[in-house]
Amino acid sequence: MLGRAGGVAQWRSVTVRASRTGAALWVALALALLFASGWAASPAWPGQQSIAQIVGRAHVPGWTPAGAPRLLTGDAIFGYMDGAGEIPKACGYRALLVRRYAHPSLGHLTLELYDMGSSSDAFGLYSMKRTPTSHFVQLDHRAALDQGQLVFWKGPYAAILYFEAPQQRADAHLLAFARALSRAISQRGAPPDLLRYLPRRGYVQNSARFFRGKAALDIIHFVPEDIFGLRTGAEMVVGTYSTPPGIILVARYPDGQAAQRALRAIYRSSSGAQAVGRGRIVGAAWATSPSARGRLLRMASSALLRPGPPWPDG
Amino acid sequence: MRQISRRRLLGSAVAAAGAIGCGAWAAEAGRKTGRAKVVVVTCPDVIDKDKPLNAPALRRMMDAGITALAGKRDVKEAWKSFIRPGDNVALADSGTWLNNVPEVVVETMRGITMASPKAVTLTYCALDEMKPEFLSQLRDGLKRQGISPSLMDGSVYTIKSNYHKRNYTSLVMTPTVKRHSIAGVGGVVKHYSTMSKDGPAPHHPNAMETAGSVIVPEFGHMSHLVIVDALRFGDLTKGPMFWQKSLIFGTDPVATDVIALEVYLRNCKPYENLPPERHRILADTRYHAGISDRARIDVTDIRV
Repeated sequence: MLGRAGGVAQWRSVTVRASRTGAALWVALALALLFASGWAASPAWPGQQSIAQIVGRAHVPGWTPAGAPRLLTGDAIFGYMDGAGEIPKACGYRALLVRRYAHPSLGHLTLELYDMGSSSDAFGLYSMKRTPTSHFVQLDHRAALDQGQLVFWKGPYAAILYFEAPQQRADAHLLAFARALSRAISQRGAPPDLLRYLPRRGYVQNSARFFRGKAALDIIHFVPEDIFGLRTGAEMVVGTYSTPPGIILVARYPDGQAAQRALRAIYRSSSGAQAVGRGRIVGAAWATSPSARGRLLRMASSALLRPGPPWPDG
Repeated sequence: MRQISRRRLLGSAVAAAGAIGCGAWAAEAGRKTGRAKVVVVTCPDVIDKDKPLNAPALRRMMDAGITALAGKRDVKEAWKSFIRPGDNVALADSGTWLNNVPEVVVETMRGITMASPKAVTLTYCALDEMKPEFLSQLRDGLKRQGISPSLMDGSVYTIKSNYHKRNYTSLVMTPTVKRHSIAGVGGVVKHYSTMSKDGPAPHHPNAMETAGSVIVPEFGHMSHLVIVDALRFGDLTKGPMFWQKSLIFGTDPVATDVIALEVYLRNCKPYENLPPERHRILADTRYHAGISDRARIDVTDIRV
């Protein structure tokens, strides 16, 4: 998780399996379109073919590609989605492929397929896009459906599918696309190991979030200063709790010194957070009531000493 | 918020004219008067979730808003309060994710051309080219109004933009308002940072606290007219989520955005716990780009 010094990406190859007759034709067509549409002008990117193949195989009857797909890497994401690009970046995205599809009666649907480099980070982007009140469906992992948008993850990939205008029969079509994409991704992947440090008692289901950047934390609890040192390579999980009400944050730093620096910054700040440290891991609690904050901190402290088993899902 | 009929509004319009008109830079006007004026025009019949745009209703809203803001009875004269004959005008659309209702841009372009400026360009956001149907609706709408689509130029409002390389003297914009995962709620001030020469990315940290920093240095030499397309409010990249059916007019970008946020928050929420007011207040208190103090913003609420 933390082996990204210098931003060097270690690409894992993803085996893609053909799942339907004629898939090869779609792959060939997709690749031809990709390279004819400016992809070749992008910097060399080892995952290019895999992501193209996955999207190429995501064929759903009734839908046809509308326009050429776009591949984005690095800061080019801001040219596509402006501020919304900060969240994928805060989750460690490597590349994004965007493709629009058209249906004769349902209008347009957009697919965003993110190569996140690892299943932890794929879960991370998914976790930032769903809420506990989302409607969940089971694919390979849990997927979230919200108002014409479906978010899911599998292996090192996270996908967002959405309609550009409200549709009554949206869910069935979104799920058809999601299943087609899932079939084309062979690795299942697992949620981040850091989730084990979140206590399960009082936890609000489907609230855990995993990320690496301050922009993601800002959404959960805004503090102008980077008191957790999230700009220095830390990874963080945050869970919401109903009893007592509040949030628990767990950050893992590259080394113990970075964790100590964060602890000092948290206690110097007026953020209202309380924190405990153990090695290179810091647990913290935020709650409106001081007593709830104290109880959450004790729960966090306990979980740092005795982390739970791996989470099967988030 | 004060609510008046259109008839009464026109009766008192002349008295309301003054500092904000005449193409003066809004912040300058604000400094002179210590106050800003914003007009909110709402029409229940203009559009709805399952109802297409009602063009005559939109025209009535546009006319009511511009005359109220200018304090003029005549629509053409009202537009001339903001657009001068020697102006080189850039009209900027809302950019992508919550594209304008195309007719709002077309009606705004129509108003600008009524004022007969020296030149006008519809500097649509280059990202709109991902939505060819939107651009085609714009072109068709302009043609219907007798305005040449050749005035559309996608090479200015790029990310990063080229406004600073052109000699525009007047900026008219039609931003939309939407829930935003960095700013909490995106609106006018954020729109300026998107239109800046370095693009929005440098302004993303800390809930876009520096978004307002570009307004005076990069756009301060131009006169400003902001028409917030609040017909619908958007949700992230998912398109419209609430049909507000309003247009919001102002010349002070910060004050107009403060009121747009106020209207938004009546029925819609910010993105999770991000503080949407923060970058708007800092645009005033730190970057002196307009007025954020609600007590110093006069709002006229019109129903048509």
